[in-house]
Amino acid sequence: MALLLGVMRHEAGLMRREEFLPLVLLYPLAIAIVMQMVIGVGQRPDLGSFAVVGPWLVGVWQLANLVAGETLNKERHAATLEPLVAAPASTIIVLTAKVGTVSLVSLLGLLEAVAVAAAFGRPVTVHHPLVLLWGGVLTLVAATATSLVLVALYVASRSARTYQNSISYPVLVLGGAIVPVSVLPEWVQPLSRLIFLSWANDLVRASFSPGPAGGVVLASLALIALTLAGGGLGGWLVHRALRRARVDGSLALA
Amino acid sequence: MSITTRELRRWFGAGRDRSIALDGIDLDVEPGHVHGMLGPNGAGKTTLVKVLTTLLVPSAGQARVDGWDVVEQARQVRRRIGLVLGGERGLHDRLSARENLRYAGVLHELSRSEADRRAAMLLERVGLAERADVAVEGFSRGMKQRVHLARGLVGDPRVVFLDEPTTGLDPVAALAFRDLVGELAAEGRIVLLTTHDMAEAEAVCDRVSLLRDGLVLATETPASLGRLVSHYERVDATVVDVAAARTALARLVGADRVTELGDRRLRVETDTGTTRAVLRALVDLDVEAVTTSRPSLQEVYLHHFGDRGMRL
Amino acid sequence: MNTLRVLRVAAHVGYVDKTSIYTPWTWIAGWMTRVIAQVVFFSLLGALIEDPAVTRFLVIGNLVMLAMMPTVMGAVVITWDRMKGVLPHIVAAPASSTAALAGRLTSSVVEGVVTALLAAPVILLLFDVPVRFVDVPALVGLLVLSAVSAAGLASLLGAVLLLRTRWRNLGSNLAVFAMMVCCGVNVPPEATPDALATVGQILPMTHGLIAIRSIMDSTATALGPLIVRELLTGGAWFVASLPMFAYLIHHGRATGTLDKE
Repeated sequence: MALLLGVMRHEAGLMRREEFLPLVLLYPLAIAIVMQMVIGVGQRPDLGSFAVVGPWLVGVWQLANLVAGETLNKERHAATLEPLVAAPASTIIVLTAKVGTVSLVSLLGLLEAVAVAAAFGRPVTVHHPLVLLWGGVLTLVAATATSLVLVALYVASRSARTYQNSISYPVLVLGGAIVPVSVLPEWVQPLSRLIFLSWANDLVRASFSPGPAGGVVLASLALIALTLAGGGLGGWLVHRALRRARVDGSLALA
Repeated sequence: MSITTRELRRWFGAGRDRSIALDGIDLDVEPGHVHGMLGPNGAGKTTLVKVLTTLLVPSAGQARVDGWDVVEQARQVRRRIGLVLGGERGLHDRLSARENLRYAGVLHELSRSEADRRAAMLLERVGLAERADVAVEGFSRGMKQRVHLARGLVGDPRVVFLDEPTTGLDPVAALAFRDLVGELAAEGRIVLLTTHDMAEAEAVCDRVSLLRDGLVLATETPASLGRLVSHYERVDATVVDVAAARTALARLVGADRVTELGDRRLRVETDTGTTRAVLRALVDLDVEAVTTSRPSLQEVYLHHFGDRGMRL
Repeated sequence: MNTLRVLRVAAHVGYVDKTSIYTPWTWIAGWMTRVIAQVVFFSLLGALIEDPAVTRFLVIGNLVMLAMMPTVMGAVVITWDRMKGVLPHIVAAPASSTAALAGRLTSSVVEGVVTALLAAPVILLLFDVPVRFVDVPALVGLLVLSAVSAAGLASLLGAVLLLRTRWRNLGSNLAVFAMMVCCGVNVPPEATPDALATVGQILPMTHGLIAIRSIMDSTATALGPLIVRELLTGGAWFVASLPMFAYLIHHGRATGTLDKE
C-alpha cells in the first residue's frame, strides 16, 4: 500500500510539472463544446448525457494512449528506467500505480464536460449516483488495465509514436466513445464491444437516466471481464518486455 | 558478504555480428574497501555493473552479490544494492532533490516517514541540504552527481555500484566526490567503482582490476600494478655520448626498449634479468647519473591499452 | 532575392525535418489513418443527431480542418530551430532570420493541403457527399488559400512560442482547438456562441470555409469578399508576427539566451 501511494504521489508530482497535462485536458473541453453546439443545432437536448460522458471518455482514452502508454519509454529516455528496475519494488506494481494515477486525472475531463454543459444551459442531473460512482470506478480501472497493454506494445516497438497516432481516433470511433454502438455499422459492433469505452459509455450514461438505470449488470460484467483480460495480458506482456530488455541490454538507450 | 563472478560472459548479437562484452570474468570483491574496475571505453566495465545490478542477464557463467544469484534471485539482490550511474540524465529533472530521493525511498520499499527521514539525512550528508527543494534541472553537474550518489544510498545498501561517477566533473567536485566514496567503504560496505581515470583509481581504490576486451588482466593494489608491466623495471641515465650509448644498449635489450628523453637522457626498459647487465654497460659508457624505477599506473595503462588511434 | 532563397532553403529544412519523423509508410499508416478517423469521429455526431444535413456539415468542415492542423502545428516546427541550438547561427548570419524561421511553414502548408486532398475522396465516398468535378479547382484553390492564411497565425504563434519552447505543444494545440470550435467547422458561425464566433471572425479559415461550403452547397454567395477577408486575416497575422520575431531576436541578444532552449 505504501508503495502504491508513494508511487501515485510521485507520479502526480511529475504530472503537475509536465506540459502535456493541460494539453490532454484540452480534448474533453473542445469536444464538450463541439457536442453541445451540435446538439443545439440539431435541437436534441435529450442527448445531453452523451455530451458529458463522451468528452470524458475521450479524455480517458487520450490519457491512456498518449500519456500512460508512454510511461516506460519516457523512463528509458530519461535514463530513470534502470534505477527503477534495479530497485527492489516490483516494477509491474510501480507501473500499474503510475498508469492508474494517469487514469485518475481523467476525472478532470469529466468536470470540464459538466461545466460546459452548465455553461450551455443544459446541466445534467444524476438520477442514480451510485451507478455513476460504480461506473466511474470500473471505467478508470478498465482504463488502467488497457494502459498496461499499451505500455507493453509501445515499449517493444520502434514506432510507438506512429501507433499512438494511428489508433487514437480509430479506437474512439470503434469504441463508441461519443456515440452509441448501435449507430455504427453492424459488422463493426462486435469489435466495439471489445473496447471498454463502449461499455463505460452505456454504464455511466445510465446514471443520468430519469427512468430505471438499464443495462448496468451487463455493462459491469463486461467491464470487469475486459479489465481482467487487459490487466492480465498487459502485466504479462510488460513482464516479458522487461525481461527481454534485460537480455538484450535495452533498458537504457544506447 | 561479497561480489563473486565465475566465468561470467556476456555477448550481444549472434553469429558473425556477435560482439563479446565480457569474456569469462572471475572476480571476488570483499567488503570494507573500494574496488576499482579500470579500463578504456568498451572494456566491459558498464556491462559488468549492469549484470551485477540485475539490469542485464549474463549469457553464461555465474554472478552472485552478497550470496544471491543475480538472475535467479534478482529481487534479493536489488534489496541489497545501491546503483549510482551518474551523468546528466537519470533524475526526474522537474522534481527537487528531495522528491527524487523520496521516490527512490518508495522504490526501496521504505515507509513514507522513513523515506523522508533518509532523504533528509542523505541530502545533509552530500551537502545539498540547502538546495533540497530546488528542481534538479537547475543543478550543476557536480550537484546532480551528488543527488545520484544520495539516491544510490537511499536503501542503505550493503553493496554500492558506481559507474564512472566522476565523468564530467571538475577537479574540485571530483575530489569531494571521491572523499564521499571513501567513506562508504570505511562503513563496511562493498564499493565497486568503474573508471577510466587513472588518477581516480590510484586515489580512491584499494584494489584495482584492469579490464580489457571483457577480460580481467589482473587485480592488484594500485601500487603493485606497476609490476603488471611484465616484470619490467626502468633505468633512466644521463650519458655523455648519446649515440654510442644507444647502440650499445640496443644490442643488449633491443632498440625498441631504448628511448631518448632529451638533454642526453636515455630511458631503458629492462626486466629483472637484464637490469644488472644494463647498469654495467652504462657504467662502461661513462654515465653521469642513473636511476631505476617502476612505471606509474598511467604508464601501465598506456602500455596495455596503447594509443587508441585518435587522429585529427 | 536572397530572402526568397532563404525561404526555399528553410522550406527544404522543414521538409527534411518532417521526413525524419515519418517514412511514407508511417505517414500513411500513422497520420492518414488518424486524420480520416478524426473526421469520421466528428461526423458521426450527425448520426447521433439523426440529421443528414448535420452530417454533411460536419464532414465538410472537418475535412477542411485537416488542412489547418499541420499548418498551425508548423508553429512547433519553428521552435525546433531553438531546441536544436541552431538559432544563434541563424541570427548571426546576414540573411533574414524571420525568413529562415517562418520559411519552415512552407512544408507545413504543403503537408496540410496534401493531407486534406488525400483524405477527401475517402471521406466524401464514405459519407456520400458528392462533389461536382467542375468545382474541384475552386475548392482546391480555396483550401490552399485557407491553409496559407492559417500559416500567418502559425507564424505569430511560432514567434511567441520561440520565447517559451516548453509550451510549444500546448500553444499550438490550443490554436487548433480554437479554430475547431470558433471557425464554423462543426456548426455554422451564427449557431456558435457569440464570444466564440467573435474569435472566429479574426481567425483564419472562417471565411475560406464559408466559401467552400457555398460552392459545395451551390448557394449563390459572393466569393470575392470572402476571399479578400480570408487573405486579409492571414496577412494580418503574418504581419503581426514580424515585430514578434524581431523582439525575440532582440531579447535573445540582450539576455544572452539565443542558445538556450
